[in-house]
Amino acid sequence: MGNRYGNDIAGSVQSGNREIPGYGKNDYGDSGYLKKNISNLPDILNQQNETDISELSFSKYEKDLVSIDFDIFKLKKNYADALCRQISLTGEKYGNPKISTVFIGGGTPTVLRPYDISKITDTVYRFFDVPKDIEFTIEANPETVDLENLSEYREMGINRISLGMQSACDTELKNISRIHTFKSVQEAVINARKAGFDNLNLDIMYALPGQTAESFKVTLDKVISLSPEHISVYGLQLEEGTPLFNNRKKFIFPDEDEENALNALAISVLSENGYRRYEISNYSKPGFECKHNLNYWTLGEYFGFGPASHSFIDGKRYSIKKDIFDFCSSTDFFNVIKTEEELTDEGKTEEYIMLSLRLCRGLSADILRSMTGNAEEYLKRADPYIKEGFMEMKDGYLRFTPKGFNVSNTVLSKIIYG
Amino acid sequence: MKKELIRNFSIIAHIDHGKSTLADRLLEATKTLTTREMQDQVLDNMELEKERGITIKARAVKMIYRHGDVQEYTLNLIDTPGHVDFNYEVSRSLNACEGALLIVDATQGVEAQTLANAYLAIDADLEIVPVINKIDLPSADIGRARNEIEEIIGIPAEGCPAVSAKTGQNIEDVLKAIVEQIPAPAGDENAPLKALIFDSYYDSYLGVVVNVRVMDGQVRIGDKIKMMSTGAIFDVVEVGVMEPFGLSKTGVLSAGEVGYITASIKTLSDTNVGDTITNAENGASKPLSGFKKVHPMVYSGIYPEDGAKYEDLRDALIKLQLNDAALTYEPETSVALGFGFRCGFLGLLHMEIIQERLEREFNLDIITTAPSVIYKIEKRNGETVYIDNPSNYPSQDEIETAYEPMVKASIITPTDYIGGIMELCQDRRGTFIDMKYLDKTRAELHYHLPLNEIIYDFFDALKSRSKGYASLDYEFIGYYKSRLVKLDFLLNGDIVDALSFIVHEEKAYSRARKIAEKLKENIPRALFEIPIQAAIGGKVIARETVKAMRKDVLAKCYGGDITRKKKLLEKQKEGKKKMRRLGTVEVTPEAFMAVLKLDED
Repeated sequence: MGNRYGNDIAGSVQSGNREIPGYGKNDYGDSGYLKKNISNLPDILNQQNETDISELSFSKYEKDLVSIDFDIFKLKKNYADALCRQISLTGEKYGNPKISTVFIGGGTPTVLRPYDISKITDTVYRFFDVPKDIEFTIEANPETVDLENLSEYREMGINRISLGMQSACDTELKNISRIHTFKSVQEAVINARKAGFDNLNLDIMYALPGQTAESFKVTLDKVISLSPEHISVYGLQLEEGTPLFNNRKKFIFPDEDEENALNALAISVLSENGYRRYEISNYSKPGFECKHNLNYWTLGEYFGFGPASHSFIDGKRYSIKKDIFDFCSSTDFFNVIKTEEELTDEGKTEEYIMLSLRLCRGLSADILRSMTGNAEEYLKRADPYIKEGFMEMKDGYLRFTPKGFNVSNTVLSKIIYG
Repeated sequence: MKKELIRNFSIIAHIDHGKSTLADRLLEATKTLTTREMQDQVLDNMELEKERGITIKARAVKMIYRHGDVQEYTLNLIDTPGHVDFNYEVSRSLNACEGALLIVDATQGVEAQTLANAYLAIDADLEIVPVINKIDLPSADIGRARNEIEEIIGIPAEGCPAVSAKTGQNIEDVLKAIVEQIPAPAGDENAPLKALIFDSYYDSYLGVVVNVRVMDGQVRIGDKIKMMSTGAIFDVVEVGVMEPFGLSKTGVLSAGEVGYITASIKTLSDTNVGDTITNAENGASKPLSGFKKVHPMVYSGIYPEDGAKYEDLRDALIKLQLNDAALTYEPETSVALGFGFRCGFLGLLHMEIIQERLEREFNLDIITTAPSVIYKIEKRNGETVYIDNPSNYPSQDEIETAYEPMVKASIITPTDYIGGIMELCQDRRGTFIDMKYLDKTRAELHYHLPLNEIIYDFFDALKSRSKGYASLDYEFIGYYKSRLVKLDFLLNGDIVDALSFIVHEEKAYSRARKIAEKLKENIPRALFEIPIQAAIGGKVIARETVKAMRKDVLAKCYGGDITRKKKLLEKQKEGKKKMRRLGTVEVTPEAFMAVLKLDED
């Protein structure tokens, strides 16, 4: 039946990041970049996630394929097997590398049976060196979890859960085709706590169709009342080709100024309640910053598994094709590599600027200088933005102000490309 | 060669009526070219000409035709450019002939250029042979075309050839008509040399190749010849005739013949089309009549998009000018666009052709400023100046009287569209002269129109208001008094010189508003608000604001996929390459071009 649904399988992507001893676990500093110099040291694997705000892969399959002679259960099993195959081959190839976080993502990996997930985690433990108590996250749609499977995940060693709450307003959820309700989020949080998850993230969104300042305030109040350790706040980005994009005329979207006002509301309400913004879209109670994501922003390396996954290993970036059927039938996964890019020094520098400036702490001028002889030129390009209040330079770190974050793409391209 | 066995003729037609195709068939039918050799439309050998289906420069070719399988005739086809911008060249080509084939499309009938060209041919005393073309098309109406030729143009069309140049049907009739109806050339071989230059081009081996029609006398290799308008003297190096694939030496050309001369001539400016060549010693006392030096009518600034390509642009213009004496250029500097050239063109089409050739043949990305005509200004101090560049326009209080070039436009249109076209002409400050019905369904309108109203998008507007049916022809009739102002545009408070232009007082306000809006649409938003102002002198007459960008962020990076963000940044970088910085504002080349297109309905 071909690849009709290939595009919807943004699928599970897992990635692992490499850890360098000597850089404190809780220090999210810029250790990631420093790691790159020591590529032979052990690594970490973590499973991490894909997809944008559209609905998740497998559930989509089930919905669309009911009338087609197609065994969704078999696909899931094959998929889990292929994933395990890729994980084991990679672990072997890199000599059982040590990893520092694991993230099972891809939107809703929990549509897989716990049995399949356990096969995946077992494979990770077997083929990678996974220290005790590292951050081990699973992502889930609130509708797909209950006390039973949550307890099973916990038993597998998964200790952090990320739930896509998006909004406390059920009409808004419906507008973006979410199958869950706020009630199911509340239940999922209660069950996660019962099952023993003491590190919990909730994703919420602003700039949703139909959203107002009042309704977003309700969402913020309710997410705080659930007291997660971590909150991600994303602005909706309309992507061409998504159902929402095609139906966009049916809805009223907040304009730019309203969008910025909503984001500003999130920043103030969350900080009043003890959530510190540490990245463009991420907030946490102290000590609960997501180590897995921090690794990305600090140029750390990682293994990614599954269709549409991305990896950064030994200074090379790889990506895997989207098609889940090709992925499942691949034996060595060479045939499903989509891109492979060896980073040049210049490329690394550009990525460091682009990624480190996502963090509230910002870019370390010293690290930039250690990476390139052109550091001063890059830094100088920031001057006009510092003058206009889009950025600031403090204690050797260049960073965006809240106002600057809102237009960070424009500024970044000027800093990087002049 | 006996003059009685020579026929010199042109083909004239409205654009797209099949002139080039007919020429091809004639070459084929006379076996000047075999079918195998036949490329489509041999005479139009510039790539651009093929695409536009128009002939840009005149070409000539010699054919041998055996009439009634008995007598061999030499037929010299002198091809003419088919557009109003090249009217003068058309008239010179016609003067080299004794007759002309007037092609009329059997599906379209007589059009504005059919008429204009027919009049040129009548003025040149040519025998006109009407040829009705495209009879293979289902909508062909030979009877109607015949009637129109007789009634509108006023020449007999009874029994004229009706052909399909596409299929080759009845082509033999055309050849017969050429021999039987077009007179043989007159002229005296023994008189002093008089040769009419109807074209010239630069060849990197031969130097300038001059295409001539010898009216009197003879020219041979080694002769000393003189250009009568400039007095320049040259030694003839080579003499011959034009074959489809090149030149063929004959050593001599006599009265009545068409051919070429080379004489180690370095620049085209020594060989003006329309000039007369004579013997350096004991030459003709008077040149052939009708010579005039062509002057550009439309000017615009051409700048390389990438400032570093300035030298390349200059080299390209030098090369183009080698074959196009009507193109003029001189260096100019713009604050906004850097170094470039002020170029002069015969008309808008000529300008477009040059732009396209620069882009295609020379691979240059260029920015063209709004086209301008030449204004005549009488200053208070008694001085008279001609202004082709808005930057040099005197300030209002220095001007005593301003004049703008006026043309007499002839528009032929189906009667259904008369209303819309009159409205358009009115809107373009036209003065109605008269209108006559050519037949029940079509009318010819005459207007006096300021040239500066035509060089914007008049032709496009005309086409869109007549569903493509109306045709236009115009001729310059002189300078008329006018109330003109210079309109400036300011971005962020700075005047952008490249956007300034001269406009009639009455039009200033509406045009200022439209262009300000266009600029707003085309200037990318920046982190700062950008005020756009249109001003006359110091007075702001329109304003717009490009709002500051307040949201440009990719909030999420998915699962270590940083490629999306990278691509986004790279896209911004690519876009920026083409941008021109104007102080604190960046402007796309499109923003400049947008200023030119005003009529959107």
